[in-house]
Order: sequence, then C-alpha cells, then structure tokens
Amino acid sequence: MSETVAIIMPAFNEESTIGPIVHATAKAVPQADIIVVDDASSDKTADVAQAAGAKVISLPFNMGYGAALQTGFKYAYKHAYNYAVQMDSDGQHDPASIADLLRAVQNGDADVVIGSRFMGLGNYRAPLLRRIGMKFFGTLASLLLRRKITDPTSGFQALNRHAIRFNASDYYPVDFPDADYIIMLHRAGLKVKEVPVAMHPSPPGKKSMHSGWRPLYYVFDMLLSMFVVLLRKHAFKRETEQTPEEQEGVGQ
Amino acid sequence: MSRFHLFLILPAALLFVTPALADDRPQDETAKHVHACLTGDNGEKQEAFDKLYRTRNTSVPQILKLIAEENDQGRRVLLVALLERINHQRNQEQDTILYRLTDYKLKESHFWMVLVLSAGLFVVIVDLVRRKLLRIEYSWLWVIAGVAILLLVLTRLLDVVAGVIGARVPQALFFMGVLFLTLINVHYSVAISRLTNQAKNLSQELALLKHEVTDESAAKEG
Repeated sequence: MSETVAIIMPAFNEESTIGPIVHATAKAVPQADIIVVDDASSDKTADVAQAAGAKVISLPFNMGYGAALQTGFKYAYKHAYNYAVQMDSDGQHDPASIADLLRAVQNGDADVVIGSRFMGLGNYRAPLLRRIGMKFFGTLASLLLRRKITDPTSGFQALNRHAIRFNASDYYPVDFPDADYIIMLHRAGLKVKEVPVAMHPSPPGKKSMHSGWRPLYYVFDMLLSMFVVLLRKHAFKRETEQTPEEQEGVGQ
Repeated sequence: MSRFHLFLILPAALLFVTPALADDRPQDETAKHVHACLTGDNGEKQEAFDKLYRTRNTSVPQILKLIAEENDQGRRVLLVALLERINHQRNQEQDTILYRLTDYKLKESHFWMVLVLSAGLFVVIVDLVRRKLLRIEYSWLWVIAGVAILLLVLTRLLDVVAGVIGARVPQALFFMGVLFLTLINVHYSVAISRLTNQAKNLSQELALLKHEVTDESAAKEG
C-alpha cells in the first residue's frame, strides 16, 4: 500500500495567492492530495482553489485559523491519510521544502516535524516585537521539552498518523496553535523535531492573525494555555496500534 | 462535586462565616461607671444633672479648673458630670452612626417596591421558560433567586437575614447580590464555552459532510 499524503492549507480571502500555491505544491509533491479549507472567505478563494485542482472544504462561517486547520486534520484522519502537511496559503511557505519535512516524518524521526525559519535556510527577519515574542515562547517551550525549539510559531509542519489523530481531537488548541501546541504534543507523548526550511516574508498589507490588539491577547492566551497544559493530566496517549473503534470515535 | 455545587456552597458558607466576623456594639466601661455613680442618692443625682447642664457649654479644661476649685463632694459630682458629658457625647455620636447602620429597617415604600420587583422577576422568568427562550437548566437558579427574594420580603425575613449575616449596611446585601450574579455569570461563561466548542465541532462536521456530498454528486455526474 502506498503512503498517502494530505497537504492542508487553511485559507481566508487568498484568491490572489491560492492558485499559484496550489499549482506549485502539486508540482512539488505530485503524489499528495491538496486540501484547502476555506474559512468562509468573502472572495473567490474556494472557486480558485477548486479550479487549481485542490479538494476544497468550505466552512459555514469564519472560525479562525486554528479551527480551519483542525477541519483539515479531521478530514485527513477520516480519510486515513498516512501523513499530513500543514502550510499557509499566502505564499509564505515554500512548497520546495515540503519534501524535507515529509522525509523527516517518514523516517520515523518524529511524529511532528516543524519547519523552522531560524535554522540557517533563508533570510527571514520578523519585526522586533514578534521576534521577542518568538524568542520568549521558544525558550519556554525549549525548557519544557528539554530540546531546542527555534521557531514555535511556525505553521509549516509535517505530521504522521498519531499527530493527525491528536490534532483532530478536542485537545487541539484552536485559538493559537503555537508554542502551547508543541508542549501539548510533548505531553501527549508525541515526538517533535525541527528541520530548516526557507520562508518568504508574508505579503505586505495582509491582515495577519498577529495584528492590532491580537498580540496582547496572544501573549495572555499562550501563557494561560501553556500553564493549563502543564496542569492537565493528559488523557490522550500516543498509540502504536489503533483499534477500529478508536478510529471511528475521533472528531466527536 | 460539580461546579454547580459551588454556586450553592459559597453563598451558604458566607452566610455562616459573616456573623462570626461582625463585631457587636462594644460594652462601654465608662458608661457603666457613670451609671453606678448616678444611682447614688437623689440629691446627688440632681446635682450631677445640674452641673452637667451648666457645663454643657464649658470646655473640658474649664471643667478641670472647676474640679480643682471644688471640695471633695463637689469634685466627685463634677467628675461624674464630666464623665457623663463625655459619655453622652460619645453615645450620641455612636447612636447616630449606629442608627445609620443597625436601625435600618425596610421602609414601607421600599417594601412594596421590592415586592413588585421580585414578583416581576419571578413572572418574567416563568414566562421566558414558557416561551422557550430560556432553557430550564439555566432558569432554576433565577427562579430560586426570585422566590427567595419574594419570600424574604413577604415574611420580613430580609431584616433577620441582614442581622444574621451581620449586615449593618444595606450595601452588604447588595454585595451578596453582586456575588451571586458574578457566580451566575461564571456559570454562563462555562455554558457558553461548551456551546462554542459544540458549534465549532458541528460546523467542521458540516463542512466535511458537505464536501463529501458534493464530491459524490460530482463523481456521479462525471
């Protein structure tokens, strides 16, 4: 049986970038299915993605990045994909790096492989405040995992079946799946590893999830979420073999 | 124990803890002493009152001077008068404060107002449930609150409750009310969180099923 790969792209009003990205991704990883989760865009994102050859899942109303992403993981889990790659649809993540991520997860090195932009490849530089935040949460995550995490906010990741199951479950932090998510994975017994990837700066003028008052709320949410993760006794357990009932039971 | 029990236990606990914290009106040693002095013989008492009356506009240093000039008998009377005066003044101050604090009783007009309001609250809640705008699981707290207020007012138990929890200021009752509302709000936050999560899961499921259905129909056509 060949190994199936789902590439999950949450998209919100990306009609200008989604087409080229889907094409480039299909070219870079021809064996993979591209799943675009349209987070109730007001433009033609869904149509453009469909025309470009992606499977499009349209959410009934805008639910945010994390919830859109999770929808993709639920799809991947339901349709028994062996591996999943999550990436942004705004052109920030380079499809050429997907192969590197997939290789690391297919080797069995880790359950989740995170593409880090701070490990030599590319010359990405974030604004000062964001850099401080990344450094802070990266350090916290590194301390808790006892393993160096350079880029806790990276949304460019490859996952195996265990991690897909985790992300499809109710444990997944849908508000901001960043540093707290990495710690959750660790606590759930899933192995996390970083590999270097190249990233482009996100296109200017685009309202990102880190604009306006959001950073303040982000810091609050992240700290509380991390704290709660540590308090929580994790019911989720990484399993080597899954019974059919458990496969049925996910996403409820 | 569910979170729900918290709503019942916390106010109840407060009800029992607060009387222990509330101090009673202090027993005044001076007052006792003066009282003992004044229950001497009638002439003495009369004289004390006279002196007291005469010294009502005199300053304390002047009284002290008068005391120095008097003989033993007069000194004693003046001293008693002075003590009585100080005590009287203090009592008056205390009374005005205590009047504001303890002697608060629900006035008749207030009584009717509260009665109408609480009856109104009860009716509104029952009507909300009747029209299915409020689920029963959220209504029972409000119904109990409405009935409790109604009963407290009707039986004039509110004054008793105020006494029991040591509430000398009506604001203390308001505080209890605010506390109760806060707890109810926390409960609602919990409920809303659960609903949000359910809505998230439902819409994700809906999107996935919609995708499946359109996929199938596309496959049939193609």
